[in-house]
Amino acid sequence: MLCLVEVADIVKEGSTPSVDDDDGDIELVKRRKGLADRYDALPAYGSVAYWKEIEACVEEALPLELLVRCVREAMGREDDIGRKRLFEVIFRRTHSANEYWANNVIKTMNLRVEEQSVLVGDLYADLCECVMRALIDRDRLFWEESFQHCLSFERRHVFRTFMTREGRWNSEAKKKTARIPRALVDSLDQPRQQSTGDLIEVHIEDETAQRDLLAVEHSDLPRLILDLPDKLKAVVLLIFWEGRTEKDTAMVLGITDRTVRNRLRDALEILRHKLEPEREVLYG
Amino acid sequence: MGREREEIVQRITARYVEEVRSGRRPDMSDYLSLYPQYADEIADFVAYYHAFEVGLPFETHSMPVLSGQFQGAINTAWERVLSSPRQTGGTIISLLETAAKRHVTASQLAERLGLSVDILAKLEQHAINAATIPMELITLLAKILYEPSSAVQEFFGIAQRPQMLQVAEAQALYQVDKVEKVGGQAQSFREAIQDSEQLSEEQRQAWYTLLEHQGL
Repeated sequence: MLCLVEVADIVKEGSTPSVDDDDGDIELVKRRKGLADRYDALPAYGSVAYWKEIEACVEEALPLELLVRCVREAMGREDDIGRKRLFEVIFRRTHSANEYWANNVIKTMNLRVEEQSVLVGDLYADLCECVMRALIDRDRLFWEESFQHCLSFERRHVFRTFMTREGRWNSEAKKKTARIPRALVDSLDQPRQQSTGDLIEVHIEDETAQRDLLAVEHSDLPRLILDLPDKLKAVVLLIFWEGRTEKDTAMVLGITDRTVRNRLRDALEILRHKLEPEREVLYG
Repeated sequence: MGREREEIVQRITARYVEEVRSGRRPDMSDYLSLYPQYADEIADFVAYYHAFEVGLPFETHSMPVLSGQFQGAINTAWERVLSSPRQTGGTIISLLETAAKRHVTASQLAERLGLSVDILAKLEQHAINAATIPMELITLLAKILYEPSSAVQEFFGIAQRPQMLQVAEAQALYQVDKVEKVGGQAQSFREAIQDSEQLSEEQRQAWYTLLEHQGL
């Protein structure tokens, strides 16, 4: 496992314009010390006073990072009951966000209401399981420093796994599985019947996709981009999210203009399929 | 993504998220040009973050009563975790390295144990007879290092001790298997306390009291 000091060094190698590294480091050290002190000051493990503090519903409730340490202590003591009780506290405190997230994810799947409800429960259970596994893994130290960010990462992981399992993740791996319902996308490449009864081949140029992409609401762009293979995301984000030129993008990523253009072409080819239904709605 | 790589990306993107949360609009290109080797992962997270995470409610300090559906989901998850092989915790190879992983330096560890660095060094080098180490120290080490007491005991090469030793109970003999004494014979914990030039008088007295109480 990589020592966190090494990780911090790697992260420190450069600095972002709006983050003062020295201040950031001092803050980090202070925060770590604060957490360690607060943890040490907890009443004896398992005592009434201990649980009173853990389950306190006050403004100064224990930071979630501290509860991670408590879970790990419960692990060390092989106290399953205590561990479950701690998990309950953590999930109740993060419930609003987790529920909101699960509903949001499921909404993107265009399902019937009753199906949505079942899948929200499944997704929520998957998330809880992943979080529990992460919390009992002592090597995952960043949970003890930045719980919310780790939770975001876990939700992303669960989102991707869930969408793949449900056949909704647009990746190379997905295309190889039999479960992927590609009917809708495939239909875009099928000849279409016009109102006159004539069959026509629909071929959408990348320029069209590019125009459509520019017409997409800025805030919807990340959701579209999520389905792209990882290698293509940065290029599309830089050009369409940040408004960079191809040349700028090439410089930022340390690749050639030609590679940028190739990646953009590949991305647009994929997005063409996604945007087609929206284009039809927009332009008829 | 491997564990180490993921942790690095988490730390980088945590800064990005912090900027967003503080109301700034960070340029992703700044992050990508600083960490081109993680560009794909950063872009993936940023896309996901703006798609699903921005605007999520923050954690609450309240403890809402969960509906049957969500309570059931937690129970399902718990059952799945319980039914998988148990994680019993790692093996401690070095007290100091384990502490360093948790950003605790040798002097900080010594301070939190109520010991001095010279005694800590002896413990690290197995230069103290494990059978003479008080249980409180093992428990405290386990707590600071977030390791099971059994792992700390194993480090010292002693068999599992009962948690509560009655005062009148005779001292148990513990097999010392792993003693790798530095510079000859291992001394007792009491002798180490006595010999230490760095321990304060107050700390020394506190340990003597404890050792007396335990008959060590």
